[in-house]
Amino acid sequence: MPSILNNSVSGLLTFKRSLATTSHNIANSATEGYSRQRAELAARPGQAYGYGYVGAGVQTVGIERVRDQFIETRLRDALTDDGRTRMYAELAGRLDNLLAGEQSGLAPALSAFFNAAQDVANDPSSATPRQLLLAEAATLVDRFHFMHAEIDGVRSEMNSRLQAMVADVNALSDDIARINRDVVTALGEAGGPPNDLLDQRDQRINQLAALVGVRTVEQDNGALNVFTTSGQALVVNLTAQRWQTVPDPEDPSLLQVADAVGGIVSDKLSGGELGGLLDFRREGLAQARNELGRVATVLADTVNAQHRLGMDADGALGGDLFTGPATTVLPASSNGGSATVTATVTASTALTTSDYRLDFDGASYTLTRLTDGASVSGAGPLAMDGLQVTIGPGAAAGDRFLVKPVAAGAGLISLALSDPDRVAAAGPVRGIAALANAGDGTQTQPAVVDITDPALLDRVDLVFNNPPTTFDVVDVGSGTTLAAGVAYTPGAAVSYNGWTTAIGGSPAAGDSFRIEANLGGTADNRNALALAGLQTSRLVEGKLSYEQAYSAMVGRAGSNARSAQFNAEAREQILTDARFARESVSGVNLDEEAADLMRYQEAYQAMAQMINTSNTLFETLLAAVR
Amino acid sequence: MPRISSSMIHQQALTGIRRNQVEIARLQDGVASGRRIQRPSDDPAGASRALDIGETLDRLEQYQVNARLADQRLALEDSTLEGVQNLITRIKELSLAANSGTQTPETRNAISTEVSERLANLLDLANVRDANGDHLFSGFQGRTRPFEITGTTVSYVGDQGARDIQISTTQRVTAGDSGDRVFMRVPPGNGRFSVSADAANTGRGVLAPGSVTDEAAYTGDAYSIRFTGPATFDVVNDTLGVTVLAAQPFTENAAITFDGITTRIQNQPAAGDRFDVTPGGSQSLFETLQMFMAALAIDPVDGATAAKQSQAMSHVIDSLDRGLEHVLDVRATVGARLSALEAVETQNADLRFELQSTLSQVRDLDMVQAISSLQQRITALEAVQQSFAAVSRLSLFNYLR
Repeated sequence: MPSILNNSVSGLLTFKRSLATTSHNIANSATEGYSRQRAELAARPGQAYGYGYVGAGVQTVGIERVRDQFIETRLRDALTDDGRTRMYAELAGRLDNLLAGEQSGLAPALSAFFNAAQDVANDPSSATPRQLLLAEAATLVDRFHFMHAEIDGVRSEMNSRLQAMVADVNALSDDIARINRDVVTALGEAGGPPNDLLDQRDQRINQLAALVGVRTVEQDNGALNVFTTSGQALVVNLTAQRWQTVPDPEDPSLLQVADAVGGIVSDKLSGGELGGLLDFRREGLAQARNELGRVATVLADTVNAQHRLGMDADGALGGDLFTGPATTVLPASSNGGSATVTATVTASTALTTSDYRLDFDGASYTLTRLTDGASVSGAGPLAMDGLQVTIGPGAAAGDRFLVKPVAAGAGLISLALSDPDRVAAAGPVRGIAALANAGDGTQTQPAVVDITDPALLDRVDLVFNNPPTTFDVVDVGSGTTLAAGVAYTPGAAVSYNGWTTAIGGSPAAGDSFRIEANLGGTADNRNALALAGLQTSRLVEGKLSYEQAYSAMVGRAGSNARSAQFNAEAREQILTDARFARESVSGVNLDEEAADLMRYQEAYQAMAQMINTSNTLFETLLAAVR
Repeated sequence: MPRISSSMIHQQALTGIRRNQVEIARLQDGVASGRRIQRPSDDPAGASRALDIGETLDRLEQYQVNARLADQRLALEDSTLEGVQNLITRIKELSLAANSGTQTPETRNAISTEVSERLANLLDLANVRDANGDHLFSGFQGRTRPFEITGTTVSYVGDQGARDIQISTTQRVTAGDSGDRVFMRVPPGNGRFSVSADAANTGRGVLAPGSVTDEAAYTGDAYSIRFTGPATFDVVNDTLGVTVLAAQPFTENAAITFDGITTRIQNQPAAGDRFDVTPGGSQSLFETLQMFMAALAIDPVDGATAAKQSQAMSHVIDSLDRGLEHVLDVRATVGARLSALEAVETQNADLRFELQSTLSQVRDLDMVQAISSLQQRITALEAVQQSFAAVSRLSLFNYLR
């Protein structure tokens, strides 16, 4: 029977519950991931009388979380994007900082090395500039090693970060699975949703979203299944799928993320901090490592090639100045065959910064440049970009090899010379026009075109015949005539025994020009000049000097870091907007709660007053019958 | 109307404060270092350009070092050549004096002594060393003493190399000449050919140095003028073995012309006398001096020896003229190199200045702008802090009693 008293009591109870909800909201106003709750009130159905319905008071029909699923999804995506770009920007910033010091970078060491070569050219007979050249070469090598070690440091640090992140992913998946169990139990026991458990679960999912992009599917029993955006399961019903880290089958120095059964999922992860880390490792870091390695490889190879064209202070032909870096070939651990593959640099000036993959389909090999997918195929050996890949017997169909021509270059370059006298500053051969020559023929100093010619250092005379329109080429040592009656063209190249020279003017009959080993040529600086000249030659991919290749690398790393920063800032703004959108719906506003507090308090007080009124009415009735 | 949650108000204020603090730290970093580019990401293109410019500047500095060194070497060569020039001039004076008819064996002997001393001087000049101890005139063989005298022969044991020095990205200057070019390869006689009398001549004839008067007809072959009688001669091309002019009548001091060559013979040769015309070739400055001494040693006791001395003297005087011209030629090329060097040095210095100002534009911070931005940021940060303090005090709970 509806009565004032009953109505009042329902109000008192209901408003007390509402006040409790309000105080819960106030208590959690600073709780991360908390959704404000609202007690839903409804009028109790009234009692019918002939004249109509008399109200029966109020009741609480539910306590709900105030939230918008669309906004929650947006926040989750924003967290994923923010995690990825923030991690990428942080790592790109590491590389950026590494290349920041103008004095600590490669450029000053390169300059100093070539300036030292110029000093040798200025004073080839002294030992001091030669010693300095070797000292500067050692500094340059150290600088390559230092930068390579720094890059590799970032690389191995990324391995430990990857392990920590995978541990975080596993912990979060475990938590979600545990909360799923609690939620399923709670839903079985009470009618209403376990709001605070649900908030906790959403909060874990958001943390997971920041690590790796996720999608969720709710089951009928209230449990949430969690997958990555590319479909790898993390939580299914009440069970977490634990991930692990495993060494890369092609490059064991890298760790990869694998699922519970060991299947590698790294290349499928694109979002969150994990995705950002893997992206940067694949793009930015590998690129920088290869670019630095290529400068080292091209420098060692071209400087060596030039140095070998010279003659040292003791009259011996030049050797290598640097020990050239070696290429790296990594067979996949899944390979069934036993073939060994070697890659050799045949033309360092054609090298790119790309890595290559060699595939065997059972019949022929395919070498693919990984940056753009261009490839060459055949039975082998395969040649591409100044690289020759030689394949031994025993490959099985499906075997693959990763070819990294320059990746380790900056770490492997070293100095091959220690004796300053071995610096080949001079040209190996010289030309001498006989003093008795009657004509005014002149001879350019011979240059070396083929240092391997065994007869290079033989003494050879070019003797003009009568009339002096032809000349004979005579090996003075053995007395053999290498060529007779060679037609004379003023200024034209005359090349024998691996050297080339030119005779100009009008030689007279009987005039002779000699080419011989440049023994005692301590004041000759021709090869030192040529070495120093490499500094400005465009030797890297035929387009850039060494320094330009390095500065391009710095520029690329810088713009990479810059755009990563811009991206991260933009994503952070989007995340902030998404957080505010969520706060706008689900966040606690203390003023609002204060107003609710007053409202419910007033209503509670009014209800209490109603009991008093009801009591007064009752007293009045009692007094009337007394 | 959107709702605003209480934590949003806090977060928004904190975001504002954090953002300003990051920016202030960045600006302060810039002001402290004076650099606009702290790390490549601040301006990737600028960072890479700054490296390129830095390298070019380093290189230009090295070119200036190289240029100074080339300058030293060339200056040393020039002053040495000046000494050679003075020496040859003195010898020329002596030769003119010696050729006058008033000499006695004693005076000739005195001259010969001086020439011999000058020859030693010339040898010293030719063996000069540069600041690094290299012989300046030894070609590539810096440690080899280039000119050695054995008996009366001065021989050159260096080679024909010359050291180039890089003075700009594209230019090299040859900092020195080989002793072969400077001292050995001097054209003798009149520069085209030299004349001599056969040692067995018995007449008093002296063949004048002559000249090439018809370039088109000049062959550059060797010739001889052979007297078949006291007044007739043949001209034979010795290179080809053919007689060019046969049985010519001889007139003292009359022009003898064949194959573009014009010369004359003074005094009367005897039948069987022979004069040679030798084309081209080289004669070292040392040889010229030694020939001078040899000519001075002749005692003109009779017509034939007087003619021999006269013939030899004439060749020496001519050769000294050629030697002087030759040294002047070399000095001119040294001078040209020095002035080219100077031009490149100026050009390098200009380029360096330009690049330094470009580098400064690329890399250095605009201090005024940076400090005003910093001030702006500080003001903004203070504003956020104040407004946050004010806003956070607002709460309905303040009014609940």
